[in-house]
Formats: sequence, C-alpha cells, structure tokens
Amino acid sequence: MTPETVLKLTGITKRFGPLTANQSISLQLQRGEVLALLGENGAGKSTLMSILFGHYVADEGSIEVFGRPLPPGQPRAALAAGIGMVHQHFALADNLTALDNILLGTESLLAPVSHRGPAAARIRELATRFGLMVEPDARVADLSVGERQRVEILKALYRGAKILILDEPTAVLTPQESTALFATLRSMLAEGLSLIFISHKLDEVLAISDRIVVLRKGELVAEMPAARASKAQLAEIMVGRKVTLPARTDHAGHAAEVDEPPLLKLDRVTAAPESGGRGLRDFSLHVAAGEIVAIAGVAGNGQDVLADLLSGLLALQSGRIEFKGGPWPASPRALVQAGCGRVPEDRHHAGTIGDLPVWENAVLETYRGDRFAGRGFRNKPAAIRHAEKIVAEYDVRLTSIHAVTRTLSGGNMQKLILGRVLLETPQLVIVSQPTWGLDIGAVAYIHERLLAARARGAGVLLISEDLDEIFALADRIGVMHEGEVTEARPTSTWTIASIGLAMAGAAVEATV
Amino acid sequence: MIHDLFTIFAAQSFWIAVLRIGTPLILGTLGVLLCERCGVLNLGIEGIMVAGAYTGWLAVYHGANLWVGVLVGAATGAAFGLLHALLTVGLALAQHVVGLGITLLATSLASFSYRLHFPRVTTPPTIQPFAEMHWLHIPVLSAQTPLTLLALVLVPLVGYGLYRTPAGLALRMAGENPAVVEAQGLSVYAVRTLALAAGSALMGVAGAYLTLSEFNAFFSTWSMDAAGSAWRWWSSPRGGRARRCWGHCSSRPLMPCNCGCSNRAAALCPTRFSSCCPMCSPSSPLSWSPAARPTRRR
Amino acid sequence: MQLVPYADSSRWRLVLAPVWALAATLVLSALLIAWAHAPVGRAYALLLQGAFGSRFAWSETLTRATPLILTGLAVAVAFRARLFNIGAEGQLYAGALAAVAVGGLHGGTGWNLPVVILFPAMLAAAALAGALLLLVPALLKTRFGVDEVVTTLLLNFIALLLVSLLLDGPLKDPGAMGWPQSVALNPALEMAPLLAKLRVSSGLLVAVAVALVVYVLNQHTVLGFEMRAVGANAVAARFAGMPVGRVVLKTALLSGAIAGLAGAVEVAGRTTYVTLDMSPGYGYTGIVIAVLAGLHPLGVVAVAIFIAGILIGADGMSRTLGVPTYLADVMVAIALLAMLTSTMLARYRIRWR
Repeated sequence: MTPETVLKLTGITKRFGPLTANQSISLQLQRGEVLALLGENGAGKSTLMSILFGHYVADEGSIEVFGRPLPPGQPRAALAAGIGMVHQHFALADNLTALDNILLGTESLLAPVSHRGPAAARIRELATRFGLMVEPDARVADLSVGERQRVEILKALYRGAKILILDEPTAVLTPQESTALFATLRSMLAEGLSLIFISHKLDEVLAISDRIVVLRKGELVAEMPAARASKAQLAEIMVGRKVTLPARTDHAGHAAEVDEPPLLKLDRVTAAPESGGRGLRDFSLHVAAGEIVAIAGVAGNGQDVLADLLSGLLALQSGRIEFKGGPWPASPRALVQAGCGRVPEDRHHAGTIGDLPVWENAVLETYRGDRFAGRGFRNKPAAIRHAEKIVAEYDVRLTSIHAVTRTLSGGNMQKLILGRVLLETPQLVIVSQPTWGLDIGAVAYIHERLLAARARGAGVLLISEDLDEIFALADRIGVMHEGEVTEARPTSTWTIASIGLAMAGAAVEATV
Repeated sequence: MIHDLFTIFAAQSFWIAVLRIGTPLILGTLGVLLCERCGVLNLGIEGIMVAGAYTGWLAVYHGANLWVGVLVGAATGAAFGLLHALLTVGLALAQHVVGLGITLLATSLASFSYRLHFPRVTTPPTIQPFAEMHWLHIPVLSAQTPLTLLALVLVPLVGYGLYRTPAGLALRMAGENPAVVEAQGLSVYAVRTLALAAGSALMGVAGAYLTLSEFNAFFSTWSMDAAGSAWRWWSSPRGGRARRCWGHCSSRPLMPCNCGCSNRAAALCPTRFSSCCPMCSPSSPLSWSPAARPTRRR
Repeated sequence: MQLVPYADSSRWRLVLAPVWALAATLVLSALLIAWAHAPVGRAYALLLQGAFGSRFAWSETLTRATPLILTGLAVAVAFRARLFNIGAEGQLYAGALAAVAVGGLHGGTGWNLPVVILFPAMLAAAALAGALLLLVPALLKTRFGVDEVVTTLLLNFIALLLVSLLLDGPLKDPGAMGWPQSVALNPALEMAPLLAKLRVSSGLLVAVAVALVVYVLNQHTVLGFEMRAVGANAVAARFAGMPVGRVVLKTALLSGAIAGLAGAVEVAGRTTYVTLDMSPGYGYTGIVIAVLAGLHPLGVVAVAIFIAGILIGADGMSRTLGVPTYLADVMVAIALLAMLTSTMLARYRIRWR
C-alpha cells in the first residue's frame, strides 16, 4: 500500500492579540499512521487542533483533507470531511444517555422520528469491532471515566471519522484503561484510520506513534520517526531552550534552623476537588524559612487541588497540615491573619475583582483590619495610601488607582496581587503559576520579588509548570504526577531530562 | 369533612372546572418547558400570554376564523420569543431581566393597542368563542372546547418531539451542555432561537385560549401577574358576560362557597359562583372593572 | 453572531450608552404615538408638562415615585450582590400587612401606645416582614443552591394570596361592605403631606433618606464593600477571605427590609389600608428602575422620579390627545430593553461569522 496523505496543514499561523499561538506550522498525516504531537502547556497544540476542527479560524495557512481544501471555522465541515476529535474534557452531556450523545447531529433535524433502534445496533456493532463496550442506554453520569472516553470515541466512529484526534487521551485513565485504549487504537489503525495523538507522556508516545512532532512556543521545532527518538532527547526538545542559571545566591542560615519546625508541613495529605476529579494522594512536603520549594508537573495532576487546599478553599480529607509546628489556619481569612500569603493561579477570576477599582483590590484581603476600617466604616484615605504604596513599590503601571482593575495588563495585575500579598510580609507564601502568560520583563520582576521574599526569610511554595522558572528560583524541587509528589530534592540533583521523566510519571518510583 | 371532599371529587362540575382552569396552564407550561429544556429561562411568559390573548381575540373580532385567531396568538408569541432570543441568546443579556422586560413590553403593547382600537368602551366588546364539544359525548371533555382537546393532545406530542426526534435531542442537549452541540457541528444559537420561538408560540396559544374559549373578551386591565392570575380567573356560564373575579371565591374550587347556596364548595355552586362576591355577580353594578371601585381618598 | 470585547476600554461608549437607550426609546415610542394619529412633538411636550409642569404635577409624580424609589433600592441592593431578588412586590405587601397589623385599629381597639413608639414599631415591623420573606429564598440559595429568581418570583404570588387570606380574615375591615380591604391605619400614624393641599407625603423623605443610607453603606462601610465584591466576583471574594454566604444573607435582609418599608410608607403615606391592588407592580417596576439606574442608589432616586413622571405625564397627555396611557408602560419597557442592549454593546461589539 503506497502512503496516502490524508491530512495536510500548510503554514498555519494563529495570533491572539500580541501572542502568537501557532507560527506557520505545516505537517502531514498519512493513512494508517499515528502522529504524536508533543509539547508543553501553551506550546500551541490545542490551538492547532482547534483550528483543524473549526473552532478557531487561522490567520494564515490552509488545510487539506483527502486532497480537498477544508473550509475554515466550521466544525460541521470538519466532521463531514471525516475528522473526529476526542476532547480531553469530554464533550458529553451527563444527564443524557450514551446513545443520545452519539446520535446528536447525525440525523436531519427535520426528521420526524429518530431511528434509535438501528443506531443502537450499529453502536453495539462498532463497539464490538473496536473493543469499546458501552451500554448505549446508560446515562453518561453513571459511566466511569474510561467508559465516557469510549463514548467520545464512538461518537467519532459513528460519524465515520477517518482521522481521529486524541487530546491527552490517557491523562484521566488508569493504567489498565490505557492499555485497553491502546488495543482499540491499534484495531482502528488496522482498519485504515489515521490518528493524531496529543500527549506529554513520553512512554506512551514512543509506544504508540509512528512519527513525532514537537511544538514549542507555537513553533514546530522537531519532527522525527518514533523509532529514532529517545525519551531523554524528547524531554529536552520539549522543554527546550537553554535553562538560564538560577539568579539566586545560596545563603547560609536555614541549615542552622533545622531543629525548628518547618513553616509548612504536609504529612500524608489526601484531598479531593469539589467538582470531583483528581485530588491529592498521600502527599507529604515541607517548606522551611528562607527557601523556595517548587512543585513541577504537567497540568491536571493535582496542582490546583494543592493550591486550593493551601489557600484555605478546600477541606482536608485525611493527613495533617502544620503551620510553624502548630495547627493549620484552614480558611482564607485565618491564613492571611496568620501570615500566610497566597497568589492564585487565576489572577483575573480569583486574584482580583475586575469591576472594582485598583485601590479596593489592593485591600481585598485586609479591608477588615484596624488599618483600613473602624466601627464598620472603611478608612478610605488609608486604603488609598496603601494602594499608592503598592503601586509605587511594585512598579504597577496604571492610569489611576481609581481605574477598574480589569483595564490593567496581566503583568501589572500580577504585580498588584504580589504587592498586596508581600507588603504584609508573610512568613509563608503560596504562589501558583505566577508568570503564566506574562511578558519577559514582568517575569523577571516577579522572580526578583519572590527571591527578595526568600532573602528576608520567608518560605515560598512555588507551584509551576514552567521549568525555566522552577530552575531559576527553586532551592528544592518536587514533581507532581497523578496527585502524588516525589521527594523534594535539591535543584542541583535534577536535570531537565530527569525532571521531564518524573513529570511523565516514569521516574516517580525511582526517586522515592 | 372527608365526606365533603368526596362529594367534591366525585362531582363532574369539579373536574370540568379543573380542566378548564388547567388548559392555559398546560399550554403555557409546555411552552416554558421547551424554553427551559434548551437552557433559557423565559420569564416573559406572562406578557406573552397577554399579548397572545389580545391579538388572537382581535383577529377574531375583525372577522377571522377562531382557529386563525389561535394561529395569530401563536405567531405573536413566536415574535416575542424571537425578541427574547435575540436579547438573551444573541446578546447574552441577563435572562431574568430580559424576561421581565418582555413581559412588561408585551403586556403594555397589548393594552396600548386595545385602548387605541376601543377608546371608550365601558363593557369589553365580545366575540363568539369556541363552543363546547357536546358532540363528543365524553363526560368531562364534552363540556370543554376544542382548545382543551388541543392542549391535551399537545402533551404527548411535545413529549414525543422532545424525546424521540433529532430536533428534540438537539434542544435538550443545548440545555444540558451547549459545548457538545457545537462540537457536533450544530449551532447553539439556532437551536435555542427556534426553541424559544416554539415555546413562546405555545404561550401565545395559552393566552389565546383565555380570550377565545375561557372568556369571550379581552381586558386591558390584565397586568403583570396575568399568568399568576390564571388561577384566579373563572369562567362565567357559557355565553354570559365575561368577568374577572377578585379572587376570594372564584378560582379555588375547594373554597367554601359564600353565596348562600347549600353547597359547601364553590365548585358545586349551581350559580357557578356568580353571586359569590360583589364583583362576580352579574347584576352587580360594580361589575368586573377595578376602575369602577370606589376609592377612599383622604 | 459573536460578542467580542473591545480591546480598548473607552469611557465614551459607556457614557453614551444611556443616551443611545433614551434616543431609541423616544424614537420607538414616537412610532406608537404616530400610530395613534397624534402629533409626536406635542405628545412629548404634554407628557413633560403633565409630569413636571406644575406644583400639582410634581406632587403627583413624587407621590408615585416614593414607593418606586424604595423598591428600586431594594432591587439595586440585592442585584449589586448578585442576589436576584424578583420578589420586591411580595415583600412590599408583607411590609404593608405588618404595618397595618401593628398600626391598625384592630376593629376599633388598637394598641394603646404613644405614637412615638408605635410609629417606629410600625416601620420596624414592616421592614422585618419584608426581610424575613426574602431570607427564605436567600437561605435556600446559600444552603442548597436553589435559584432565587424562581423562588422570589413565586413567593410574590404566595404573599399576594396571604394578603387575600388576611383581608378576608383577621385583618378584614368590617365596615367595608364586603370589600376585600384591611382595617385602616391609626390616623395618628399617617404621614403628613409635605405641601399644603397636595398628596405628596413625608414618605418621600423616608425614601430619599434610605437612598442616602444605601449610598453611604455601599461606598463607605465594610459590609457595603463586601456586598459589592461578592456581587462582582464571588470567587475572588471567597479567595480573599470574605464570608460569601453570610454577605448574601445580610444583603437579603437589607433588600427585603427596604421593600417592606415601601409597603409601610405606601400605607402610612397614601392608602391608609391594604388592598389586593394596592401596588400596580411597584416591585417589578423597581427592577426596571434599578437596572436603568445602573444599580446606583442615588441614580435610583433620579430614575424613579423620571419613570413616575412618564407614568403620571402620560395620564394628562392621554386625556388631551387620546393616546392610550399605556404608552407610559411601553416606554418603560422599551427603555429597559434598550438600556440593557446599549450597555452590552458599549462593552462588546458584534462580529458576524
């Protein structure tokens, strides 16, 4: 069988404002082939696939499917051309049955009757053929995660998809489910389908794919046959860039305080998010005064649960958290009062209130204290003075502190939050993704401030997906994978390759 | 007490009243159901019912066939449904505020137009409403009009449409998880807009029932709580004058009848509540209009 | 059709939004006036004159505005904290009932208390009744996540039926010839007219005072800040350590109390007794007013007077030109929808695709 090109992307470029998500990316997919798409978060994988599927329209470039151009921006056209997508966050309605979810959009909306009987029969037939057993009449809410994914795949197969895009398909599966999924994928390949497989997990990528493409910062940086790739090499290409050496100076001091209880100590902690989903399992960690401990990891491995737990938003299920050897102040207000500062991951929705002016956001955590209020009334001049102080000391650029916070740029918003937290001179700071989406200048400034906090003796827990940032700041690094964390070892004992492996789950056992 | 209840539940007139009062509620609720199921709260129902009641009645008053009147009511409802969709689906405005705005707009437009057409009437002009289906020879149903039959038939029809057709599936999915609808190549905008139009059309028919079947006239005094008042409206003996009762005897068939008849419950009153209160009595000079009420000024 | 936020945040678009809304309202209403074969310019002139053209006109307008200011404030306070209280109508009735229950004559006996005690007791009872009526949906919302739009709306009907029950029962005025009407308030508790020979009562002062209190509360107190913060972004408020549930409950108590007060002010300032048609939808119009005022308490006062002016002015205009008075209601409805639309279009532009 001669190779047949089923999909051809040519020069795809997509910009969101100043950010270039995809920079003239070209790639091809052959019939019966598995193409793996590797890259860190924000590398542009999802944007590229959204363009292919018609959710976004590319600024430049074109797409051909089976030799025919694909009209941009129309999911319907992509579906008709034979492209199916298995979303990472399944596009399923929980309250409806598997059959309902699969059938939607496959019949004419004007048809007076839905042929559910024959459809269910065909679904059963497809399910048997590809090993995707799901009861069509079961409610999606009653299905396990693995079964939901099967519904998602059946949706594409039912529509006769010839090209299947799988976005992080194993991220939510147990190892056993992953093995079953791979068997399914192989049987699909045998029937002539072509797959695009998006993942961070290097083992899987090497096991399933024929060809590997690596994206970094919106650009296609490497393309190679899987047979010639190695894990270490892929990890390095994926993380890329020369890692800038830490700008911090090791300082004596915290070694002498070993006898004192650590600032923060988590002992075999278990917690689950309110929405369900992956939580923390058997999580142990400590942060001492004057050090930055970083938690690295691929998104969705429980970092958000860790951040919520330590921000006082989530309740502990089991285990113990200690703050300075004493009990953990388990509410946002108690934490602030106890001297624990928190910088949330989502500065727009959790960190600031966009519709309130800057000066009110500057006292969002401290408005109740004697400094800014008395007898139920607010001390507005004091709050404004405080806001001016933050703006001056943390270089927040704005037109006026009376402007609504929504109008600030991301960097300035982050500086405002950082100033609000750090001016209270907290002993412990929990920082989550502090430089996500910021320009280089703001990143450097925020790093400088975090290092300054460490220098004055504060303990910092940095949760980040940015390895450059972690190597630049951290004294010790722990890697999270599926709700568990490796021992937090000194930065010097990690290499890019070893951290990449640990993030992919490969090295967790080795380091414990 | 138990015996009284039994007498009431066994009486045909009770069930006739229940079905009669229930018809606009069935129609209106089916309309709300379509809107809710596609994910939009349609608080415009009260105004849409009033507008449908008015236009349907006006068409018949100007000589149209009764069924044409029903269609006109449905079309009016659909028009307001489209306006609702433009504002809440297209412009993503707050659903409840828009709903109240639509209610206010539809109600006041209907009243405005009514007063424009009939500037100086003291008694509302009437039409010949739907006749009871005596030919049916089914106990309770024979005393109803074809619109009640339509409402009863629509219940399984809407159920079938929602649960057994591709369009119904798309509608429910738009309410459950709009992202799925988009991912399957359908437009949430289109699905919700059409669902709102269809649901509001049913609300329009519910309104038309009030003027073309339950009563034979339109009252410009109907206001914000029209749908709520649906409970408090009662039908006069057929062919009699249309009236609006003030609510303390009419709408609740189980309330004791205080007209002096021997029946304990209003539903069993031979005069059909007609002398229960000053406003209900056909001979009362106070009649139906609240404007006729004496007000105490100081 | 897609909404795309403007990249720049121009103040001008936001400032011009109400202007566009007003223009749209006047143009669309002009079509209705023309439909009634009346001269558009003269109709608007007469409307203005009927609303604000004389001492009597001002008195009538302000009398109508008084309850509207209070219900508008009740809604504005609640909406600001993202508690969608659609139940001001029911809370108003609850307040009116409580006022009559405390200050009514009780079949001629009455409570033998001095007015200085009875008057505040009457207002407090009304506020409490309104507050408790809204507390129920607020608790359902914070405890079980029940949608307060539906519960508050339906409570309106329950409140109205309760009024109906009481007007036929304990509070029935025996001297009303069978009319469903409550006993009258003790005349000593009635609010004095502000101007000689005119209807406008000192209730207006109460309404304006409440507006000022709400303004100060919003801008200068800790609770007001919490209410605004919770309404603008509950996630961030919770992250910052605000007790979101408690703030919502306090908001509910305040909003319900103001609406209840509206009932007491209506009874003591205008009607002197409770009837089932006492409020021509003041609670609902309050929503319109609050939204038009951008939820600003002082804006509520201005908008309430403006809306009352339209309602009163339309009466006079209608008598002269024969344009139905319902024009006023249509104008209010169009103004609401136009204002919502124009504010949205000031922040987002529409992209057709």
